[in-house]
Amino acid sequence: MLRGYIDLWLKDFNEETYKTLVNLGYKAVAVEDYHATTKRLPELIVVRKKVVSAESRKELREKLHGIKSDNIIVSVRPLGVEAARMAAHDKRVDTIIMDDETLYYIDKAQLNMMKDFNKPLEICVTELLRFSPRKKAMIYRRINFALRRNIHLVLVSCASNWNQVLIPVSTVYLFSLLANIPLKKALETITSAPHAILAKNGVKVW
Amino acid sequence: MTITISALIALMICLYLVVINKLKRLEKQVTFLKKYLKISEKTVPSRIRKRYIVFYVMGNGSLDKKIINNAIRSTWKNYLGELSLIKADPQVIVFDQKLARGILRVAHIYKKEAIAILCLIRNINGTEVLLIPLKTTGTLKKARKTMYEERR
Repeated sequence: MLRGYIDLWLKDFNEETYKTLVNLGYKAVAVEDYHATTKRLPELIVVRKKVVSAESRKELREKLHGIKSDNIIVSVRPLGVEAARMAAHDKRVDTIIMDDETLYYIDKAQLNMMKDFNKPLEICVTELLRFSPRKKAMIYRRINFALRRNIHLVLVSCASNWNQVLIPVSTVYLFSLLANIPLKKALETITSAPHAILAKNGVKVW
Repeated sequence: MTITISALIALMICLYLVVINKLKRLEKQVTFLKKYLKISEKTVPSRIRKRYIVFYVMGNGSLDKKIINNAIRSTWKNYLGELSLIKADPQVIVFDQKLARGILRVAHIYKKEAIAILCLIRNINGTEVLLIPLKTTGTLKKARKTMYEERR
């Protein structure tokens, strides 16, 4: 049963964004460097998210030290193979972000490892649309592989403005067309997959 | 002599009947298979039916029907190509500026694409907007009803 949508990455959060999110039927959002760890606003739950970029294992280990005490959601942008592999098996990491810089390190071995450790792959739709066709194609191939391996995908907006928020229905249709998957499976990327991450971190949404 | 000729004729008739029977069976099997595999031998294209998508424009600027129509068509062409644009022929047929709601008409086979395209439009002529699909209907009458009745 559909109960609402979840966006796991907003770069900025203000009154206008809040109104838009509530209007679109969102129930929970994760905001980067938000002032409170978890805040229950009327009709919306806001949690703090931290995005960590790291090139090596050592750097990632240092950055992840004590990170879970202040943040609910921790996402990693791996800028090297070492960091990518470590992020896949580290329990503090909730999602691994795939964008134009990190897609080179998300290969078959990485995706297989992510499947073994049940680590979701996070894709920013707003940024994805800005990439060149070549990079879009590279991301498409990785999405296809991830879907074939039953790796959970999470679609996020990375919105810093109210008009960058994802429109749930349109996004589901767009992803269904792009990945050639049924609507029901596309819907999971903004509902049950992010909900499972929040539930794992002790945030009760519904 | 006459006996052999009549015997030959009888044999020929028997053979003919057997062949006919087998052919009939084969035909039955082929029709069954065609039904099973949903193979249609239609050469005439199916009728173009329409879908009406009621949408809501979230934003501050004042936009009219033509501007929104151009934005949708240019985005469609950019992402899905001209061939698809010709086949789908998306058109904003009604737009109420007071309600900030409109109706987008599109060919029924391109309904998914039309809804997907709406989320790609974030800016129209420098105005920040969001086009939110509300409902898809099969008739204009129902679309109008939805447009004026449904509050969100």
